[in-house]
Amino acid sequence: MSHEHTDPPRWKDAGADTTSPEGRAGDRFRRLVDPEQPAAAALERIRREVLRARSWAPRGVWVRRFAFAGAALVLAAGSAMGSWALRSARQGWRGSLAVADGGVGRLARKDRYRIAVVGGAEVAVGDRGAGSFDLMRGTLVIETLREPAEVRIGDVVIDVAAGSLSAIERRGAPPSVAALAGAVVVRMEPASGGVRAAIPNGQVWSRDGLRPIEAGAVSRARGALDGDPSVSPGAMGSADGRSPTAATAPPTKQPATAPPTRLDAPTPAAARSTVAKARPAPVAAAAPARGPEPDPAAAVPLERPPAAAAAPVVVQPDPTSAEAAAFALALQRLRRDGDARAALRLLDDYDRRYPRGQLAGEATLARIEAHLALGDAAGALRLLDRAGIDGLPRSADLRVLRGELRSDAGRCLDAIGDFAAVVTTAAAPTLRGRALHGRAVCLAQLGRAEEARADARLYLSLLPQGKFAAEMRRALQSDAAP
Amino acid sequence: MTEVVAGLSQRRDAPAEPRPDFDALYREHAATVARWAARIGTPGMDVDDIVQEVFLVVNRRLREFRGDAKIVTWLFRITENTVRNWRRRQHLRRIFRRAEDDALAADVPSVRPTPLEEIERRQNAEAVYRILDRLPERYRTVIILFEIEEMSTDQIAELLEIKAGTVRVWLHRARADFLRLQEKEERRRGAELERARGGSR
Repeated sequence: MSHEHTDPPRWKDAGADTTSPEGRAGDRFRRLVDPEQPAAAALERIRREVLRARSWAPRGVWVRRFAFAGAALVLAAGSAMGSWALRSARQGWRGSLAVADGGVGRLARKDRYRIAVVGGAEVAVGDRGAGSFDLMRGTLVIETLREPAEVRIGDVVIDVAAGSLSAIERRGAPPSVAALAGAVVVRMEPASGGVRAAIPNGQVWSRDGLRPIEAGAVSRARGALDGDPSVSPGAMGSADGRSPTAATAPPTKQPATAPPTRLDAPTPAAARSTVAKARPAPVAAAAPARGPEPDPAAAVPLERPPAAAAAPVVVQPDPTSAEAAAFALALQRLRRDGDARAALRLLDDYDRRYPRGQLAGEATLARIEAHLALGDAAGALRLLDRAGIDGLPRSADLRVLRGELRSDAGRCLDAIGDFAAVVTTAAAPTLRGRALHGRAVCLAQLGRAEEARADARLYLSLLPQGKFAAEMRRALQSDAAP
Repeated sequence: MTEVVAGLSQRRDAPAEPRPDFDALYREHAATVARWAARIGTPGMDVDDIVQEVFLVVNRRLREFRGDAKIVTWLFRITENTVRNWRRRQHLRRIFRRAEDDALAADVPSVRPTPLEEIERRQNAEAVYRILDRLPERYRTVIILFEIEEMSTDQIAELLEIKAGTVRVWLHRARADFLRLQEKEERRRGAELERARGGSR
C-alpha cells in the first residue's frame, strides 16, 4: 500500500488574508521581489577571474599522494611534539633558575610575574598557565602582576594573589612566607592534612607563627627584583636572617631591626600546634624538618583562600575566536578607555597577527575612528583613500565621512563624487542629509551656485527640521550658496 | 527555478553523470547559482562575489567530481556552504557593529524610481530574512526553496539528497518556527512604533 503525499499549499498562494499569521507570512513572501540576475557581462567577468585564479589543488595522482604523505608526516611530528609538550606540562616544570651564594637571579614574564631568587637558591619554573614554581632551596621573591601564581615547597602550596609581592624561603626547614603586599594563602596537600591558612598583608608566617614583616623588607624585595646584588636572603621579611645559608653568605646589609630568632627552640605557639599533634611531621614528608611545625592556627583559617578566589584583572575576550578577542581588546582601548594611541598599537598588532583576518574591515574602521579621536583627519583620510570602501562595513557612512574630509582638505571634486554616491542610495535620511549638505557646500565652493541651491532645497524637503536646515534656509533666503 | 526543476527531472533516471567541462558547466548553471545565492543569502550580500567563490571551488574540485551526485545537487551544496560561510563572517562582524540595521539599510542601493515603494520592499525583505536567519540552517533552506523558490518537496528532496518525508517534516517545523518568530517580530515592531509615538508627543 503506498501513500500519495501532497505538498501543503504555499502561504504565498493563499488569499490576501492578513488577519491570520499564515496570511501575513504569505503576504511577506509575496512581496519579495525576484533577485536581479547578474548581467551577462558580469558573469563573463566572473568566469574569466575564476579561470585566471590559480588552483591550489595538487594535480596528478602522485602529487596528491606525496601531499598526503607529507601531511601525514607533519601530523605525526605535530602529534609527537604535542604529546611531549603534554608530558612536560604534566610533569610541570620546564626549566629552573639557580644562583650561587651571594647572587641574585631574576626572571620576568610580561604581564604575569617577576621573580628573584636570592643567594644559594634554586627554583624550578613551570609552564602551567598562570605561573607555577617549585622552590628547591633558598629564597624566592615573587611579584605577581595580572595573574595569580603558585609556589610549591614539597607538599605545601603557596597561592600568591594577582598584584601582590611575597618572599618565600625554604632552607631545610618548613618554609617561611612573607606577605609583603597583598594576601598569600598557604595550603597543604590533602595527604598531609589539607590545612589551609591565609597570611594577612604585612605578616610573616614561619615556624614561630605570625609576626609583622621587618621594616624595609618591601623595598629590599623590590631591590632583589630589580637586580640589586646587595640584597641578602635573610632580609626579605620571610627569613629570620640566621638560616644556615644566610650564615655562610658574605656580609650583606643586614637590617638593624631584624629580630634574631632561635631556630632550634620551639615557640609556645608551635608547641601548642594542633596540626603538629594531629600529624607528627606533615612538612617533613617533603623537606626534612629540623624545627617545630609552623602553626597554621596562628594564621587566619579560611574556608576558601581569598587570594585564589580574588578575580585576576584580566580582560575578558569575546569567546568567538582569538582574532575577535584581539580586535575586541583594541576596541575596548578605543571606546571604553578612550585611549586611541594604545588602540592603534593594538590594531597594528592585530594586523601583524591576522594580515587577512576576517575582521580586517572592522579593524580599518576602528583605525579610522582612532585617527579621528586623535584629531588626525589627514591620517583618517589617508586610510579612507586607500581602503576599498565598498568592502567595508557601514560603507555609506564611510563614504560621507570621506567626502567631508576631502572637502575639508580642499578636494571638492573628489568629495562631490562621494556625496553623490550616498544621495542616490536608500541610506538613512540623516545620512543622505549630511551628504546633501556636504555636496551643497562643495558645489558652492566650486561656483556652481544653482546646483548648490538645488541640493539645499532637496535637503529641506528631506529633513525640514534637520541639523543643517537653518543654514540651508538662510542660504536660500539670501540667494547665496550654503 | 524552472530550469533547475527541469534539470532535476531530466537527470532523475540517469545513473551517473559524465564529468562536465568547466566552461559548459558555467554557461549552463552560473545564472542558477546566482539565483540560489540571492535567495538563500541575505539582503546586502554581493551575489557576484558568491558566484565567483562558488565557481572557484567548482573549478578546483571538478576533477574530483565523479558523477555520484547530480551536478545540480553538487552545485547547490557548494553554494549553500559558501553562503553559510559568508553569513558566519557577517555574524562575526555584526558583533562589533553598533547600528547594524542602519548599516544594512545603508548598504542596499536603491535605483528604483519610487523610493517609498523601494523602502517598503527593502524593509519587508529585511524583516523576512531577519526571521529566516534565526531558523536552523536546514529549516531555513527548506522554507526558502518551498515558499520563495516554489519548489515541490520532492524536488527539494532531490536537490538536497534527502528523503521527501524528511523535507516535509523540516518544512512543517520550519513553518511553525517562522510563525512563532514572526509574531515576536511583530510585537517588537509594535512596541517600537508605540515608543516612537510616545516620543513624538
